Amino acid sequence: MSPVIEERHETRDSDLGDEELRARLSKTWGTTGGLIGVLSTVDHKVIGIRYAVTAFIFLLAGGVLAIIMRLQLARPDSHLVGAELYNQLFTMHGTTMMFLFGVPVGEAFAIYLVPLMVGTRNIAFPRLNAFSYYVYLFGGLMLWGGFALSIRPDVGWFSYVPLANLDFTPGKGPDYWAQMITFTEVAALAVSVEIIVTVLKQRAPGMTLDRIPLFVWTMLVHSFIIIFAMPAVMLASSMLIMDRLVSTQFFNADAGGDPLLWQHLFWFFGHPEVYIIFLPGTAFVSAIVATFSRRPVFGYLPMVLSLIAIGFLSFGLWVHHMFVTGLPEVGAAFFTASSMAIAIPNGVQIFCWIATLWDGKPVLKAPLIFVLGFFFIFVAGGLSGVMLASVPIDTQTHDTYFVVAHFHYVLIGGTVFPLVAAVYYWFPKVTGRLMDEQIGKWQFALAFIGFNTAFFPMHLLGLYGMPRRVYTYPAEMGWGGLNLLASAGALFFFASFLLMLYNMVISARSGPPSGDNPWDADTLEWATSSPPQPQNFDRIPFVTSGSPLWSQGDDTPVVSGLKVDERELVVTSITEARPDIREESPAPSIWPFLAAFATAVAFIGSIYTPWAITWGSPVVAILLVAWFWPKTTEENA
Amino acid sequence: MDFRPAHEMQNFGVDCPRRSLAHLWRENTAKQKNAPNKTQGEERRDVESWLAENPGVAFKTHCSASLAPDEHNNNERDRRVPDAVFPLLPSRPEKRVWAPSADLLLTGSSLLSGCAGVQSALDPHSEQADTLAALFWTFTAVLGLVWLVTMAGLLLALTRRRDGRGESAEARPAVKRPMLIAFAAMLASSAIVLSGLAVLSFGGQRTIFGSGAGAALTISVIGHQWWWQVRYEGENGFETANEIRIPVGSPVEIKLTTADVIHSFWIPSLAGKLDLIPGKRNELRIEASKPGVYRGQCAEFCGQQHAHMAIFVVALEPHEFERWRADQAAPAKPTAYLRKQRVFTSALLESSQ
Repeated sequence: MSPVIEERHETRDSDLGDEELRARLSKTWGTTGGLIGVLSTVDHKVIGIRYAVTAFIFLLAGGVLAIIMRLQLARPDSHLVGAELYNQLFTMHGTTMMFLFGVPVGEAFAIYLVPLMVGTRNIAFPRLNAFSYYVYLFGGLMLWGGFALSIRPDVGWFSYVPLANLDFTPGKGPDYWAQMITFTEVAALAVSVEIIVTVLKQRAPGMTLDRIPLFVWTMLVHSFIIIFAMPAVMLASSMLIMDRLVSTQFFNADAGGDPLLWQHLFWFFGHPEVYIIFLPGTAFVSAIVATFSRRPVFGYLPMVLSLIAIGFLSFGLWVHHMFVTGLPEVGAAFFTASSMAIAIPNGVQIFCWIATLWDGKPVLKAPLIFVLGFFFIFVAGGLSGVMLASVPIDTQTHDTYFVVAHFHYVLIGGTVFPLVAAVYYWFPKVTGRLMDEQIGKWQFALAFIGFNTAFFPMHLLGLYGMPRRVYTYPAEMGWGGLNLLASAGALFFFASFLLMLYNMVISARSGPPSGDNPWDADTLEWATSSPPQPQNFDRIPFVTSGSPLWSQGDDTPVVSGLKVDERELVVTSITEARPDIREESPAPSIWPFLAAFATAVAFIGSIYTPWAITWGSPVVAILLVAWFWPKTTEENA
Repeated sequence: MDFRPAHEMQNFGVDCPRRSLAHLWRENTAKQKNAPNKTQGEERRDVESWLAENPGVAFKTHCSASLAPDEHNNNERDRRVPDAVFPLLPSRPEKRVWAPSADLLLTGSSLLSGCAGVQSALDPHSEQADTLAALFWTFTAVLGLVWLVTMAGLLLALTRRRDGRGESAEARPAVKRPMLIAFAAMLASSAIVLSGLAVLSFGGQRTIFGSGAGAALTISVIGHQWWWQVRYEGENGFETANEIRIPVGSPVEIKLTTADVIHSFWIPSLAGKLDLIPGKRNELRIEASKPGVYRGQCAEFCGQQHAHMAIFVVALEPHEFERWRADQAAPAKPTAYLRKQRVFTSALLESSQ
């Protein structure tokens, strides 16, 4: 290596030519090989991909459960799976889709893309990021490992008490369920903190608040929702575990507890949860609509205000999940009004996207086609949501297949279709290769027809009186035909994901090289190479517009003066994004993995004995001390 | 559009039951024989014989009522129910309160389902369920229109003719005045539509919760995993299981409590659902406008056999109801069935000794 030791700390990016700078930075920011290296990495891109792949595996696993359920329900009086297994299946399906797929997959994209979009070299608190991934992974493995070992929760993804109490469900299933919540929520909270700090403090100089891409705004609001919503469910699940393990009586009506307390806590989280899952979908839509309409999204300010309004309103709706618990009339009416009100900011977003397409010149590539599917399905789901907001209508539709249809329209239409679009859109960013367009169109046809065939009939089934969570139904009810249709559609819909998997595998191997910016998009993640170097950007861009790549062209101004041989970031001010200080970003470390492992052991142990917390805490504390042990490097200039 | 006559529809689906409700109810009755806590005054008979002895009951499936507008179909029904009941059946289905388009929709969808309405929210048989169904259809019509307008906007946005602009991106396109006007119109109209729907919803809420009139009859329903205990309150009270008989045309107060976990009481043709929650007593008012058998089912997941927690509400003409009630309240007489059971029990005892 040419530079002498004394000079190491002195080399700045302005001293070097492009080639050498790239090589030196990539060595500084790179991930070392070997098992320790792999487990120590703090690169947000590596961790983001791990998050995404893990979430996709859980999506497929949850999908397989759904297919088994649909096969059981395809015919009346079916004996394919019994009541016991069916109840385990829908519990695992809901839990997997909500906690192990829905929330983490949004975070995966945020972890990968937000630092790139705001023009920084790594996410804030990168070791916490690594820790969060391992905690999520261990939580998911615990739940599914338990499932494989026949420790299966079977009381629904909502675990209503007293059914989930020890008296009615003696096994360890609900404890595994509740502890899995703790795992994924710890992970989600960690990621939210990282995203918020990254967005507020690490934006490229010049990226003032009104130049933040809508994707990033959305992820910011998403993170704030997580921070305020998740503690409620962590509290609730901890109380449930305590009721079960050490006989606290939080939810026992006979001992002065209240089963409705569980429902309030759970839904105070549960409704924002819907937006936690849905908002990343809108983030994808905003990015894709802008790129393929060849102009920024119409109405930046109304879009941002709508996002913030959704963030606030999402906390005022939870009681609409409890309309049939016998609430006072006026109280229920308030939640009707608030639930309907949230349709307005959502409507504003829909309008702005359509207006963008109207004004622009839409290019019908696979990502945009999936977004069009999103409009068709999500708007229908949103409108059936307005029906459910009405107390009288809800008394007929609550806990029926109408609701099942509604939230699959909202969540699959609102999140999964944009997610598939996002996969097609950012796949070249991650791999440097384009996915196959033709397969993409076939996949869309299969997914769109399959989805609507599977879920539209469920509206009718609900109205014809079919309740949710029934493992079978008598032939005389007349639900057989629609159920058969729904099951057939579900098979098609599932097949569309297998097709996507196939497309991803062959495209990663032999897809056409994409170049750095295949869609001629406007946001900063496309300003670097595809796939990006470990340092993301060789020179940190200076932003002068909301669509930097469209208005600035090739001669983007850059920031200079960062050290080359140390991991250094630019920290900027919150509103104006003026360069503030140079800050060192943590280097790879094995401690986050070890701390996550110890945390997992303590959590899992606590299912069997409360003493696991007592023994586990000091171990975790020691590992955290090692993690944060001060390094003997000189203070930054 | 070529709509098939409704009576053909009825036979279209593979699943449309011949004996539908009668069959289900008989199953239910059989189940009750094994139900725990069976009280003394209870008598169980097969539905046919019971119907034959109680000709006042207009036994019919809602399915045939909604889809059988002609003689042909009455003949169909003839085969389904005992002769004794047939003359008392209404010869023509009564007019629905909601719009005819709703009828069409229901008929159309029956093509898919084979048979709608054994326990259907779209087949209301009480004032309350009428209100709910009407409200549902109003919302569907308004929101369906909103969906159509949105999709039309999307379609136009994609297909409208464009000037010769190239594909190059515009970082700062001019904001056009018509678009701002459209935005304002969208915001205003969605606020108006949603407010209108909210007001309708509040109105509906008033109608279903607001009835303060005294109930003629009070019944306690106690949820168990996985059956319904039904207690007729007052002097000469008695209990039944999984079956509630009520007089037609008078409001009945149902007090809902649970012995174990949360359940939800739901008879879609008569009323919306209401939960049974430990430590809480909920009250629901039902009133059947016509005699008939209405099926319901627990709507809150309550454990392993949640799927099989059904309940039947039998609405009887008032004098029939009074006769039945008097029978129930009278001291138990050994019936043939009970005698048989006694013989069986003593046989068991002997063999175990």
